[in-house]
Amino acid sequence: MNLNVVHVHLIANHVPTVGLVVALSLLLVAFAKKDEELKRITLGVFFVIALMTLPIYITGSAADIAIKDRPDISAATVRAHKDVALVAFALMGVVGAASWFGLWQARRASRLPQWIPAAVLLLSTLTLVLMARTATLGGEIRHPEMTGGAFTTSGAAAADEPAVPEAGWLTTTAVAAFVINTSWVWQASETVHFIGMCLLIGVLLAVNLRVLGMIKRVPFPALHRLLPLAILGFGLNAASGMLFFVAAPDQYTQNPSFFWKLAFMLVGGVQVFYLTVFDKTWVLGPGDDAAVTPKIVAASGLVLWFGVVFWGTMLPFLGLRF
Amino acid sequence: MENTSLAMWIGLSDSFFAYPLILLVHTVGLTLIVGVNLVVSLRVLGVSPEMPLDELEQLFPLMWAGLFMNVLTGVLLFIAKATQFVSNPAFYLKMISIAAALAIFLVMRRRTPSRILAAASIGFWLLAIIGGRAMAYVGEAAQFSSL
Repeated sequence: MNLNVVHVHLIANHVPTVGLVVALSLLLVAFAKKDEELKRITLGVFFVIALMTLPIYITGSAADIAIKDRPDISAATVRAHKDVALVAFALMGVVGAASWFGLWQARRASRLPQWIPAAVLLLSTLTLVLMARTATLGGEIRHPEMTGGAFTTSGAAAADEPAVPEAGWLTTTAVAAFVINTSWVWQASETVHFIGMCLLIGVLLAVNLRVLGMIKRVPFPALHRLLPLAILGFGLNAASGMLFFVAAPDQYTQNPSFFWKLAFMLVGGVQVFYLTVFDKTWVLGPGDDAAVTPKIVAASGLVLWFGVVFWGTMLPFLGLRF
Repeated sequence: MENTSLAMWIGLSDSFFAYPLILLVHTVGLTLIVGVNLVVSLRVLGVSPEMPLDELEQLFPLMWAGLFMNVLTGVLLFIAKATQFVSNPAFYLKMISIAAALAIFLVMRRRTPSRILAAASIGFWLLAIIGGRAMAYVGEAAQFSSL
């Protein structure tokens, strides 16, 4: 299983860098041509890249565990890679949230507020710089020739460690130490995780049930207005969840329940994207019955999001006890 | 009570149908109760006033289903760890918050829903979650849950 995870990381890790270059180019073209449609499409691309960055970060941690004790791997390079990756990942999350908010606004007002693509342009450029740095450091883990060093097969790599920034406030080590050593952080994060869950599930339950035909007299756009609360719940849980993950990655990367939870969450993210932008649900007025496709999407949404709750609750029970 | 075979089975069995399933039902029930309450309370507070409030009442059976699930699984968990629960201050915080939140809900259904009551409802449900989570960390039950 570990080898597979490493492979996934090595293949998928090109998405944030290559994807961001493509998306940024598209956004610049859209600005140059004043093409509002292209701006919206590009925001969608940014949102999908942000979703994909999550499994890349997670598989990266799994890869770290898989190669940890190899003598030909420089631990300092791995640490430097992880630290930049964490900041790049967090910033990519902000880009994804801002892009989603722009699409949500564009759907409601049928016009995209101009500050959003401008903010996304700025933030994603910064993210690209960090992602490029992450990628370079990641490459050095297995390609020391890039930095002028030779391949080593013994413990020699440890001897000429490249100089890396030591402690900083947002390094993986510092975050993990904060979560583990401060008694209330883990408990408070768990509580936040439960509150975020109720917010996310509550809103998505109402929205998806409306599409399925319950509370039909509520026009869809009225429920669409609640979607930012679901995203807020997701954000609370992504943040608190990442604190758990960074503090104790071994509990999760080796845990099948966690991989299922992640998979359900990512497809669930696409499902929320559908509810945010697509016409087939947006046009539903009071009493209107949805077509078959949106109903299937809504039913999948309920399965996916309650699935996330299921796999989350099963984390300590199925596959691995901790 | 903790020495009954049912209590022993819940607390100690390795079966999926003991502790994990009870916890799962309790968690899903939580999302139904608090989730529906949040949506309705936020509507009363003025979020998305285009939603007809009487239509949202159709979601209440889901809330009652969640409450039924959680009272049932809550009693099972209580049977297993009664001594730890009754000596745990967080347990009382949780129970009082739930009682208050349910009382507010019933009052809101009888009279015109008010913003103050809606805000209090959200507040008490959040307190109930905080109390429930704190039960694992406060008092003798500190080792109880590792969720």
